[in-house]
Amino acid sequence: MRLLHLLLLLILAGQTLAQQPPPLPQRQVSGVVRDSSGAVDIPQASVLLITPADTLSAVTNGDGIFVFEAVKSAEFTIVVRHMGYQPFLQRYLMNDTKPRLTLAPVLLHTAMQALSGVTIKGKTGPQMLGDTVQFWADDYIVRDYARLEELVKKLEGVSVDKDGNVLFMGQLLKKAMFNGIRYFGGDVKQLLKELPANIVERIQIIDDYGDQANAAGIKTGASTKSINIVSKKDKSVANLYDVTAEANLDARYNGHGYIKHIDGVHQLEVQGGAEKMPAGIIAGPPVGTISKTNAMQFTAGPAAGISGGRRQNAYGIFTYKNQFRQFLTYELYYNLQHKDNLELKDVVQQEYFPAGTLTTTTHQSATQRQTQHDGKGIFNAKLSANAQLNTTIGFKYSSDEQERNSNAVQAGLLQQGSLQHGTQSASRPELDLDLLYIQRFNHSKTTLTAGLCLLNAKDCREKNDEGAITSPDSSYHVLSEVNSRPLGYQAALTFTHPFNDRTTLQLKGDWQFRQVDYQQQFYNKLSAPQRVDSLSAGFTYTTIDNPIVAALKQRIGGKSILTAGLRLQQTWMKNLQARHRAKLFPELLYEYSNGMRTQFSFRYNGNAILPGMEEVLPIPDVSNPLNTIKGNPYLTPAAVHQFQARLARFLLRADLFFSVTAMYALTAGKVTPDITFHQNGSVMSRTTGFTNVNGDTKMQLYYNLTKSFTYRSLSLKLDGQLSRNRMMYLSQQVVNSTTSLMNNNALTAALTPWRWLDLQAAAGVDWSHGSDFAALNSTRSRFNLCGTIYLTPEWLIGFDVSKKLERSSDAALNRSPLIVGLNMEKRLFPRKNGVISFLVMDLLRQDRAVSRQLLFNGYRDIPTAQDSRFFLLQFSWSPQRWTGGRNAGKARRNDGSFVD
Amino acid sequence: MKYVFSVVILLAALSLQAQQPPDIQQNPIWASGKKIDGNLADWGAALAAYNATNKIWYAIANDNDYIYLAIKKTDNLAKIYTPASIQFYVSANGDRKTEQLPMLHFPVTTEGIHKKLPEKWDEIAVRNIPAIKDSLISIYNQYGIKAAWKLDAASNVFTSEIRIPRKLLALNGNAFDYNICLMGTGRRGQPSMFLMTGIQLKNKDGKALSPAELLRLAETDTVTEFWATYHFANQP
Repeated sequence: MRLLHLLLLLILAGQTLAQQPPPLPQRQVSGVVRDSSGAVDIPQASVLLITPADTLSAVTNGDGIFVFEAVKSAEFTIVVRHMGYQPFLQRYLMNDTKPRLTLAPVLLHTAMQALSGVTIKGKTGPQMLGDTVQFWADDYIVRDYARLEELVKKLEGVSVDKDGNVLFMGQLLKKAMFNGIRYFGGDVKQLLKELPANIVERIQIIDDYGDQANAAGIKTGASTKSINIVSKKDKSVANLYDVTAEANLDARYNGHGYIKHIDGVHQLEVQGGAEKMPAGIIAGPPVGTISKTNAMQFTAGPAAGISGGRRQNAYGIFTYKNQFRQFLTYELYYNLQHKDNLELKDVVQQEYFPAGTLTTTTHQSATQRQTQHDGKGIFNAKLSANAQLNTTIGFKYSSDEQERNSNAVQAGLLQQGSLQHGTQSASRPELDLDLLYIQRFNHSKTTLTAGLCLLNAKDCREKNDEGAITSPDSSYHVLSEVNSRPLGYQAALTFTHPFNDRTTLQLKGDWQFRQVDYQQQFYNKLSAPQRVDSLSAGFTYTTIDNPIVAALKQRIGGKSILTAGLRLQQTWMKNLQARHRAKLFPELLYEYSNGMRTQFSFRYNGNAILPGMEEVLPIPDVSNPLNTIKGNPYLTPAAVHQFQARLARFLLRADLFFSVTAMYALTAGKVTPDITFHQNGSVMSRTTGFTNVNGDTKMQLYYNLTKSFTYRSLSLKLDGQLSRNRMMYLSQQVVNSTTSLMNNNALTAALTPWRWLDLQAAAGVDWSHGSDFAALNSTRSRFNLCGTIYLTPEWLIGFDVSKKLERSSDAALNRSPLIVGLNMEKRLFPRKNGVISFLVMDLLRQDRAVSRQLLFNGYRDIPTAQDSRFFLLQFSWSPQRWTGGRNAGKARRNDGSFVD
Repeated sequence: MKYVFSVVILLAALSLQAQQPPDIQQNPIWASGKKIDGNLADWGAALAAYNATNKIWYAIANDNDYIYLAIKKTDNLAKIYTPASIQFYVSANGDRKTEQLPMLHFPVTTEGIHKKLPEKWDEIAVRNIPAIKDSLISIYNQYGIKAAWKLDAASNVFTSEIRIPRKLLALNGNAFDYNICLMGTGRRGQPSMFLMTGIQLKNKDGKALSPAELLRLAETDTVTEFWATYHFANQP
């Protein structure tokens, strides 16, 4: 009887299960946000709905109500934020058969006031959402009038290198976006220096795989990092103006300005500027408001590798973007740059060969006049709800004139001196056309993309070189005329098809055709102009690169995604003979995300890299007869195998963020220099050729630890990088290797001990060690204290004091300068949008360095300019007007863009 | 003396009559600061009218953007628990054919054939409103319709408030006609089965239903409704 009852129960359960309706593909989710009493509705609260598939955002209306349509999962997390309240975060597991899910009222509790010794527990912290890491601006405190860069520097995982580039977890941020749309030209420095911090709601750092891959949802190959600023809804439209001028009595000036308007896809930009400054002076870290908000690349030009001279540059930029009806967005862009530079270099180069050491001491001067025109038209047309065509038409024209003089003395393997003079004029017109077609199929959820890229350029160079070998005596005068026509076509196709919610098929094929038609005419002008037939020839180099990737993307549980497949890469090379290679690489990407606080990924990439034109060109370059370069037309493609693992975690209660990235790359058949020395009578010369060699490896470990405290707004950051590189080279046809180890570490503490003082202290240690060449060993320590003293809200003093201790096995590099920068400034005008400042850099005149550039078999030292101290009078006026425009009643996507 | 006594009686009777609420709301109300939370304290000591047909207290108010409806029922709450619950029809042009008129029905107390617990009364049924494509919307919606209710089972009191944007109903004139209908379990035009003779019904104890119980069941099973006109109040 019991058995019968059990059987009946099982049958009933089975029938019940069989009758359960299937889960719905999407549903509406709505709710209301109220205060902790439950009686007061809270409008304008930010609400995020996060599912494993995507993230949606909304803002509560006047009744405190939020509504999300087409939510794909009934399992999601809701995050609600509003100023003055503690953030709300809750996970929901709802009935997946209901078309409308109404949540219980979200009750926000008031954020407590921060007093000394009392903790504010209102921070949301970084959120890891698939390809995006998101930060909330309210989590960080910045001063009035602060620019976006000050806010971004406080983010966990963010560091700034010595050139002012911003990195996230060791990767450079390359593209700038504002509310989901590229910010004018996409320049990250411009975005960070032009926007004020107080308009920001969220900051997103996104893995960018390129337009075609992003459209198809394929994450194969390398990615770059983009930064997207999501503004507050009432600060999404702006008119920005700027006029900045700096000058001193010492042949240094800089003036630039811009007018910009931004309103979603409607953007207008007109900007221009000119500058003149001595070259080879270390710019030092920026001090004062105007220096920190100066996005100009010219002014921050690198001093490394230049001993003196002058830079004189001018530029103009025009950008216009708009939308025609709802289906076409277009962009017109034009950039004009003119450079007129003089560079002086005093170079000491040391190279180590098994046969001995070669030391070259050179005094060089080079002038360059270059004008570059760059124009582009981008047209993105929405052909239907599921089809889009993106077209980019670009042209570039650059003209370049150079003149070089050098006086070199060589000792060691070669004993000789030489005088050289050369001129070069070149012009390069370039046309390119990019087409990208995207088609989505709603029924099967398949996505198909097809891309085509055409490049046609003409590179004309005339080089006139003459020189004399002074010891022993020998002279030469050569003229070479080179014309090359690079031509390229590229087509790409992607196809993605989801079998179900968990499994997606990804196919991607690329076909790249490149052809360079190279013509060289070579004359020996020593006695009479005489064409050298053996060096006057034509050469055509054609390559076709055809990678095809097939992969399956599988969701595992709710937290992991595994993408695995194969990459077949076929290459064709044709110069003196045609060669075809096919290599098969596995493709692997594993991603794990535990809610929003932990992210782990492991990736393997394989890629074949074709040799470049210079490496295969069999016509020798004897413009310098003492150092002939001759390519090897029989080179084969190198195969690069790269492994990368990344872990990032944010501990909310401890307010601690850490990230670790490890990378290992192995290159088989890398194109490597092959250096051979010859003796012809009393003259020694060398020839550099190229060959494929196995054994190149690269290992890198990057880590970041950030801990924040509410006490005096203190934050501590520890950044570090450890790398080990093994490079192969040939000398006298013998394979050699050199291994270098480098480690950089920096500990930075930023705090506000009193309302009138901002301080940042940093200590860092860098060391490098060469296994084969002791000259590559060095240790550098640096200590830095910088900050701002607020005498009144309008008057402030900025300072930056650095002590560097640089020790090396080469005493010439040892130095311990104390570098002091100071400024005093005052805010002007009723709206405080003007600044006048007096600045002094390197007050004690000690920031002079020898810049060491590592070679594969040695190093090159170039001292910077001696007169490193300078004064500047600065003025800036930057009125800005931010409003919500017509976006007040519009819904908003998670990237900040508005829905019409 | 008799004369005085008669006058006193007459005055008392008139006074009593004056204190009886009207069956249909007579005067418009400007809705300043009305909060849609199911609590009717901000409507005053008593609602504007007691409709004997539906046995509900009710009041309608307006401002420049919305119309507001408050309802209180203290008798036979079983009529709230039926699938059709309370229906509110609005006519901007005098047409009184309910099948074609905009209608809101709140609270939605059932899901299919199953009753929902009062905590799950989170939907509003909507019909014939062009801007709303769905027949069911959440009480938290993007149309500006806001609704709230309170149910005190112990003291047998149900209160509800609903706020509707005037532009959704195209109420651009000076007045509109409205119908408040409690369908119960009945059908329009059909008498209740509990009033039929020849049917003997028993309660859960197996005893025949009393006349009072039958009347109550019949009331639940009978459609009750009324039409009236509301003239918009002007902003003071």
